[in-house]
Amino acid sequence: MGTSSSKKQGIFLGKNHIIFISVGQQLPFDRLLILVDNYFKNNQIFNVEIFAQIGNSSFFSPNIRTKKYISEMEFIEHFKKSNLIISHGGMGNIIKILEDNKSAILMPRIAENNEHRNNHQISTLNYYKQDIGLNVAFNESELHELLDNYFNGNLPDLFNTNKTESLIFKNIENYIVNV
Amino acid sequence: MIKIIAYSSIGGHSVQLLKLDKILRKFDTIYITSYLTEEQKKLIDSKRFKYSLKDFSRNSNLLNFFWCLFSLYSILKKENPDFIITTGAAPGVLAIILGKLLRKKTIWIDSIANSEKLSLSAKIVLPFSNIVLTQWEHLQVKNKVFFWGKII
Repeated sequence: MGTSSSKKQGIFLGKNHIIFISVGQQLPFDRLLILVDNYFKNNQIFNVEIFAQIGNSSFFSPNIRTKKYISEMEFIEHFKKSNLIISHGGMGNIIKILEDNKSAILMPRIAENNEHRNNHQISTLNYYKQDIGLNVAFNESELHELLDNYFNGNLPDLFNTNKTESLIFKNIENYIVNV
Repeated sequence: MIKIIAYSSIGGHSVQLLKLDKILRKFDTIYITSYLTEEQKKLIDSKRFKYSLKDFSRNSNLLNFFWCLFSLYSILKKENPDFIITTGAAPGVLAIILGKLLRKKTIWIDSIANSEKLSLSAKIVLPFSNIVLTQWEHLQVKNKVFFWGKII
């Protein structure tokens, strides 16, 4: 798809890349938006369309179209048509990414940055990174490396596709019926 | 027909709860959710969620807490369910405790996000809830916190 030096000169990719950034419903996550924006400031990549759901934030960038909140239907629309999802480590997004097997890059919120109440996103994303190969970035250089991988056409796939249905459904149904 | 009140806050909690719909719709199930901002409230699918509450968390003020408590109590008295099932967050704690007081059967499902330890909410509802579930096998506690599988 092109070396990184030709990318920096500005290479026509011949394909529309639609990117959807989602920070979730609860809190803003400006650090993720800024780090993604930095990537597109440093790399001249044409034919990319970026939309971000940014939460209660005043983030602005000429490269990224933003909206604070979106309905479930709007979310699904952006999600389905996007080639790449960039997301915080919220379970709602993780589940949808896994269900649809979307190309995705995730970054956890950090409590010390007031991005969340606690650091469970770090634990969650570590788990899914190790267990099924979810693409996770813990800092700017990891994020930029994953974005490079994506534009070079070699963002890694997930490696564990266990399709057996969880027993939780039957267990809950049985409990409700029998107790 | 068994009647169920199913509560979850907007976001990952709802995504997990709604995955249980294929089971819950076999019963008379009413979904409730909660929102943090007025903008979020406008985006709630009212065909799915019969009631929506103003959310509260450990960082909220007392007024939000009491309003939520009052709203949940009114809903439970009006709907008179057999079961209350919730994936959290904080208002789910109230739903379980109120449920216990009103002699309902209750199920707390800790979010799959809590992979290293049980959430604070789950610990609070332990003495009240009939069933407390974790979605991580290593977090189960014999006769107290059960692992019945993962929703995803």
